[in-house]
Amino acid sequence: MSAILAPRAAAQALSVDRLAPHVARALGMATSQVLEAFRPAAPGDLPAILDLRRAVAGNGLWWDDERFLRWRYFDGMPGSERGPYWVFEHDGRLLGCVGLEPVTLVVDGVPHPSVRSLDIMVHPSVDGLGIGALINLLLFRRYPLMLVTGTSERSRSLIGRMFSEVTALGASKLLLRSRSVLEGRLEPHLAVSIAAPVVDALLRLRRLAGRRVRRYGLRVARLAAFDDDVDALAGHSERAGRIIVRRTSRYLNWRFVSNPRCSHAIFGAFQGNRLAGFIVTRFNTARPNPRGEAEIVDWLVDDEASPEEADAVMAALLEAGLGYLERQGASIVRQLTSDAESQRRTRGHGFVLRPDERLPFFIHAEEAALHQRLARGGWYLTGCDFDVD
Amino acid sequence: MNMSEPSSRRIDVNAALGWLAELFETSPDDLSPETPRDAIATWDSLGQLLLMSALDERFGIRLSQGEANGLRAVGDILGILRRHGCLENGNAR
Repeated sequence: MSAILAPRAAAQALSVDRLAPHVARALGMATSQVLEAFRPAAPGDLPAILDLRRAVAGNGLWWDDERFLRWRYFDGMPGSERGPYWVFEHDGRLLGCVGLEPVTLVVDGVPHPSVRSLDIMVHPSVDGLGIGALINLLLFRRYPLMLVTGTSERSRSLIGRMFSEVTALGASKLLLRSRSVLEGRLEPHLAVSIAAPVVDALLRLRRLAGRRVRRYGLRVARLAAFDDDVDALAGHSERAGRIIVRRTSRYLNWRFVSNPRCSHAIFGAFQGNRLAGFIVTRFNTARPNPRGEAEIVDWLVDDEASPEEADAVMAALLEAGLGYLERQGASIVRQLTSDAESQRRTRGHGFVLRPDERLPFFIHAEEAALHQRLARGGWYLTGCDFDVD
Repeated sequence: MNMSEPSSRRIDVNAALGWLAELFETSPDDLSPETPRDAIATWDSLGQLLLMSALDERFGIRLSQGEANGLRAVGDILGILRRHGCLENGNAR
């Protein structure tokens, strides 16, 4: 842990003043020009941004990227400031871009404005000249607290040296239907057809074990959207010893209900009229998904409940969410979390931790005391903290 | 090229490898003149920037873009140091 008690970039003496002149020379620009080249995007930049993203991601963009960018960055979250998007422009041509999502990180109950860094891209024709690294350094100047979840294999080393890895999200998986797994292991087709229903019945029996928990008068309902009740529930989760990105009804509705890339199903657990917890599931059939993978994306259980009651709330929510995903045709369900309590609760429903599937989580905090606190742990992270759907 | 560099700017091959190991956050044992760029995980775009910056700060060498693009292995960096009179003659350990 001691290795991350100082900001990573500071330890390496990475600074704009030190590195910008070399990027400028590589691009044939003056240092002052290279600093001015990085600016907030305007709506008129959208066509050039779309071209740049296509040049970088190619066929990886399976979604309507213009609609996605407008939703995430240009139209912004309803009622809030516009989601910021930045571009690096040289000679009228966009060479790099990065999207940011403003979030409030609540540390021991104290809110800190921060941004998630998403979708940083550099045009292949100028790859390797340090534009991506410079973009991060310029962002550090403007945003004193930045968060990054996961990296591509290619950017892992760079992100790991500019940001500090403070925790990771572990993946747990549950098999709902065995056919897609058996098909890779059993021959001939007839054997799969015979074995799959038997294995599926055993999997269902194992999941039903989660039902043997006292119900505390719980009622679970599918929700079309979040309302103010979730704000009170989320407020209880912002407690001492925990680091969590603030959930509000407005944020959750923007993120999950208005998301143009895929739909989500939300379930709420109620005791009387009180919201005791929620769960968000996703089964994205719009993207290539041959194995029928679904996810438990986000959840929150009232922290004012007793441990037994909280277990019962989560069990009821998982039962509803998994039943829904099974009816939708999902075969495998994944859950991402940094939280041991959440892992324990899902283990009871048959989820198995996959040690080989681990998403590193990075921060950059200018303030040394905050950096040290974030490095000490207490993170509550879910798939909501990861941008890939 | 200036052949009368101050002695503090002249190092031998082993010291140069140690300096590069520190720069690239790797072990000196993993570096030799033959080590290709793609074998050093941290010699990416950020590593290249740090290398250019460090060559400038320590040796007063400002690489042209052509020279920077031509760096494919540790030996190429040693070649730059040699051409600028910053590397003493001798072989790696």
